[in-house]
Order: sequence, then structure tokens, then C-alpha cells
Amino acid sequence: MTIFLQYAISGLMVGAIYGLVAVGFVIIVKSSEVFNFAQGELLILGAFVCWALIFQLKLPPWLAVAGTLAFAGLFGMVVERFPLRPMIGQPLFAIIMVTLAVGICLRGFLTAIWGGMSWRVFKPPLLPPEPVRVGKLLLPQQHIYGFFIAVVVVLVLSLFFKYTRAGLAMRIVAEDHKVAQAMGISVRRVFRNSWAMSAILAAIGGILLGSINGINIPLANIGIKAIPAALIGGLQSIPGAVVGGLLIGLLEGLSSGYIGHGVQDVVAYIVMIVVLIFWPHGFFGLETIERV
Amino acid sequence: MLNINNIEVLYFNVIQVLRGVSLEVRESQVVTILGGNGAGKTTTLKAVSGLLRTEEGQVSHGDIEFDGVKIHRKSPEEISRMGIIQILEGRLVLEHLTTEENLLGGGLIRKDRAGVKRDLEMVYGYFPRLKSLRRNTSGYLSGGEQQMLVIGRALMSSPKIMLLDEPSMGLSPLLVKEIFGILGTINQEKRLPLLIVEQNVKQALTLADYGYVMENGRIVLDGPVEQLRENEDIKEFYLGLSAIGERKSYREVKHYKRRKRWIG
Repeated sequence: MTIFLQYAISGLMVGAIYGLVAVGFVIIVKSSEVFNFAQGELLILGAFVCWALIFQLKLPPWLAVAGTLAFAGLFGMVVERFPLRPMIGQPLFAIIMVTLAVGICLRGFLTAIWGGMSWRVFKPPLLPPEPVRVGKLLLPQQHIYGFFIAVVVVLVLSLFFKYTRAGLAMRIVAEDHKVAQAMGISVRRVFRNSWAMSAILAAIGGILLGSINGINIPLANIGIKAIPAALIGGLQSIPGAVVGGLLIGLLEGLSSGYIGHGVQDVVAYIVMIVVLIFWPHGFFGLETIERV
Repeated sequence: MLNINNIEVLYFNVIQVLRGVSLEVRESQVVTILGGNGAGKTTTLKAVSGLLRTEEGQVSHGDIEFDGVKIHRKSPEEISRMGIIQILEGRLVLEHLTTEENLLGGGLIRKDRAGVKRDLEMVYGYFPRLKSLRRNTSGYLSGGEQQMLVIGRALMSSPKIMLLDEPSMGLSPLLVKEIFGILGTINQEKRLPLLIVEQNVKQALTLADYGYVMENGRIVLDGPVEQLRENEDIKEFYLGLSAIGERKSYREVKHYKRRKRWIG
């Protein structure tokens, strides 16, 4: 039982970070229906930039993190402005392919700058590394911090959507572009904000995962797990994305513990297939309201 | 205050929908545009609000002035910020948002938050039913309530003129009467000009001060509603009354079509 809990809890803690990145993915889907296949690369971009600010430019960690988040937000806006805004009104498939191309280019540039397969490690780490003992369980402190940071960020976001004017504008655009325009809301500004937010969330995920495991280019594949997490949650739902992330994390933890290391990389996709077969709209998919 | 001067509208640069339409809305006036399906009524409204652009349409000729400013090249956001608010056809509520969130959304383009709060109470005053439904998901409101909600949402942006596209569509006669009554009250109390596109000619001619009749992208007839109500053709084709003013029995009508006087 202790071993089970150990696997499950550490899985859930990583899962919260997946959920955070998946929320970013969902924000873009909701506002513009675009699938951002560059989410994984945005994640490693954040991780690398933060690492470089701390260990190459020798900035204090708090400043480096703040700088990384600001950079990520700007970068998201730039991606929205250049390859994507001119594509508004074009077929969705073409837009999605553009995001894929952005991701591949980004991966190439990052490889060129910070090196291919070699690991970049946060040393000293951003979060305290020593594990703590809770009852019989041994929990890495980094995971605990990561979990709470992810939870707090998601909570702040949901408050933002519920209680601020900018959040309301984003939800209105998510409902209907034409109505939003008739109400005088700038749909473009909402697109820009959602890309900025999504890139910031990816960067937070990247910094957390990077400081726990170290950074290399294939870390981007973890960012892409945001897509199954979002799909499991129903693609339109922010709580759904969190649940999807947690579920994937949980099953990864269990499967790598009981079945063997290596399985965890495919578990997300197996879960996604199974869930979509039985719940094609995901767990929290929005249904269009039809009154009878 | 709103002048449409001889506009032509093209969709996709080829399909001509309006062929020279001119109309005018004066301060605190209610103006209605009547006409059959495909006459160009909705297109006229979209030309004013700028939403034409989002559908690959454009004003290719003529201009539209609002308080002396030419607006036909402006974006829909700029136009709505000037106080021209269009209520789209079909009661488009933001269905997963609550009633109150819908209304607050209408106030997003304003800077004065105190004014938004005041106007929220004003809207609840005009539509008391919305107040009791403020926390309900708007997608589940009834048709009449949704129509009230979209009118209230437009009022929340403190408009200088409201463009309404078929507010009566799909509603029971009783509700149509209620909603037109409230529109009349709003027009009188707030001196708010309304430009209403309608198929429900009887209601529209009761509420409006001035009317235009459109067909095939042109205005074929216009005048103060008192005149329009007495017009033989309006009676015959839109109100379904025979020349004597009695309800017409269609059983006795021979199947030839009376030629409208305005078709040349």
C-alpha cells in the first residue's frame, strides 16, 4: 500500500504540472479553435531561457524567473502577430500546420543555441531537492512545491476568468466571435492575450519540470502531453484540462512503478484513446445548449 | 444623426446585394426597414455596424455618416465604440455565461464602471424578469427572455443608436407585443434612436415613426408610418388587407398576382 501511494502521489504531483500546461493549450483552443502543436517547444523555450538567465547571465533566480515569464508572454504575442494573425480566416487545418512549423523551427533554434541531447541541469536547484518524510512516504520536496505552484496558478486563472473584465472578454470571444465583435470586443486582442497566457503557462511548466529533472530537447515531448490531457478533459474546459493532467500523471506514476520504466511515455496516449472511445467529448466537454 | 448615402454593397467583390440605398435616422426617431427575404435589410444594418467586413462584404459605393463622421471604412470595434450597437438576428446570447455576465459583457467597451452598475439596474428595471434569472445560464432561458437579454446587453453599452435585426423572430404574438412595448418605452425615456428591420409589419408600423420598404437591394418606398399604413400596396402585400380594409379571404382570391406599383 505504501508503495502504491508513493507511486500515485508522485505521479499526481507531476500531473498537476501537465495540467497547468494543458490549461494553456485549452485557452488557445477556446479563444481561436487553434490547436497549438508548438506547446511543447514553448515549454522547453521557457526552461532554457530561465536556465540561461541564471547560469549564463548569473541573474538571481527570482529575477530570472520573472524575466523568463515576461519573455514567454512577449514571445507568445509575437507568434500570434506574425505567423498566425495573417492566417485568420484561412482553413483551420492550415493554421494548425503553421503552429507545427513554429514548433519545429523553435526546436531547431534551441538545439542550435543550447545543444542537442546534453542535459542542462539547475545546479543549485531552484526548489529545495531534499525529500521529506510524510508518514511512511518519501516525497521529493520539489514535486510538492511544483504541485502547489501549479494549483495556485490554476486557481488564480479561474478567478481571473470569473471576476475581471479582461477575463470576461476572453470568455465572450470563446463563445462567439461575431457576437463579440458586435459588442465592440476586439477579438484580435483576445487572441493576443490568450497566446501570451498560454506561453507563460508553458514556461512555468518548463521551469518546474526543468528544475526537477533537468532540461534537454526531448523535454518538449512532455509538453505535448498537454494535448492528450486537454482532450481527456474535453478540450473546452479548464478544470477538465487539470483533471486530464492529473489523470495522466497518476497513471504514468503507477505504470512506470509497476510495469517498468519507459511505459510512462506512452501511457498518456493510451489513456487518451480509451477515454475518447467511451467519452468522445472528453470528461468535461462543452455541449451546445439546445432547448427542446 | 445616421445618414446612409446611396450605398452599394458587394460580397466577395462580385455579388451585388445593395444597389444604391439611402436612408436617414434622426435624433430619437424609430425607423423601420420592411421587406421580404433577401431584400437586403440585414445587409444594410451590417453595413452600418461594420460587421459586413467579417463576411467578406464591403461598401463599394456611397458612404455612411454618423454625427457627421464617415464610418463605412471603420472596423466593427471602432463603430461600436462610437455608440452604434447592432443586435444580431436570432437572439445570440452567450449561452454558457449567466444572464448577468451577458449584460456585463455589453458594458465592457465602457470606461465608467459606476455607469455600468447604474445601467445594470436600469436594464433590470426595463426587464424585471431578467433580474430573477441573473444567475441562470443564459442558454437555458426562453426565447422571449433571450431576446430581452440581447436588448438589455446592447443597452449596457450605453448606445447612441441601436440597430435591431428582427427582434420578433420566432416569438409568440403576446411576447412580440411586450418587447415592442418595452422598445417604445426605451426610445421615449432615453431618447434613443432605433433602426429596426422587421418582417412583422404590423408591429413595426405601430412602433416606428418612419419606414422604408426594400426589395431587391433597393428602397422602393418610404414615408412616415401614417402614410405607409394607408398605402394600398403595403396593405395588400404586407398587412394582408383588401382595399376596403377588411381581412382578406384568400379562398376567393384568383391566382393571378397583382402587380406591385413600384416594380419597374
